Amino acid sequence: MTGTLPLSSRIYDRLLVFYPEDLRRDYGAEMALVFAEDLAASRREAGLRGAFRVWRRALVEFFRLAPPHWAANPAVRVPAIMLAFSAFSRGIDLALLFARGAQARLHFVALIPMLSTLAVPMAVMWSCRDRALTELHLTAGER
Amino acid sequence: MPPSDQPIPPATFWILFALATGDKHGYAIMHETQKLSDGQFQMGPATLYTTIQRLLESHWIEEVSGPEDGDPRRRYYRLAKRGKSALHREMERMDALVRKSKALRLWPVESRS
Repeated sequence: MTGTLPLSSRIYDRLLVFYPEDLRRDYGAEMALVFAEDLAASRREAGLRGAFRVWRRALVEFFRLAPPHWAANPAVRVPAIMLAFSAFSRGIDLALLFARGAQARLHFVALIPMLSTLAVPMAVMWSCRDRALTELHLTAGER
Repeated sequence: MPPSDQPIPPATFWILFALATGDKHGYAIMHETQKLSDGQFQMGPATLYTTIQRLLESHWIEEVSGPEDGDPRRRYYRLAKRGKSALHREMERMDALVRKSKALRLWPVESRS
């Protein structure tokens, strides 16, 4: 089960990109180190229950601290709104299609162009994520 | 940081309290806060470092050099003069609250069983 520790640390490293840039830049490497130490100690003391406790705390913090940062950051907010709007309008299109009683085959054909419109905002969000990851690795390398 | 007559947030209080017992790095602060609070207060790395960031900006704590043979990834922190007086103010506030509640016979709370 010790293999789960490096995996957990890698996942936590990835989560860091969603935190405010200044926090990540100044303390990202230390946050990852503290998380790994806390996780290892909790695993030693309380097994899986300890690891679960550490993860639960990390996720509670994540959802408390990261979303306000996203909302304040236009680079994330704009594509997120585009994605939400696009997904919402595609959902309505699909519901109307089903309501009209179209054939199952037609549903499938209609889904392709509908879902493809989601690709643009998703690509924008993905590029933001890549940029943030690069920044994190650069700052971690500087330490 | 809150005005001097306002209670300080729990994470701030426990970090200052932990540093009052000596210079520490991040994980040691986290560990010490759990010990001092008998496990009642726990925080993760994000709360710890957002609070440390704020405390450094307000000059309540300061960064100091760690031991020569220590892990170079770690940074060590020390309670500064401002932080020490904020901690003392908070403890005095708590003490006054306890004294007042004792005078009003509201504390210790009687068992309901």
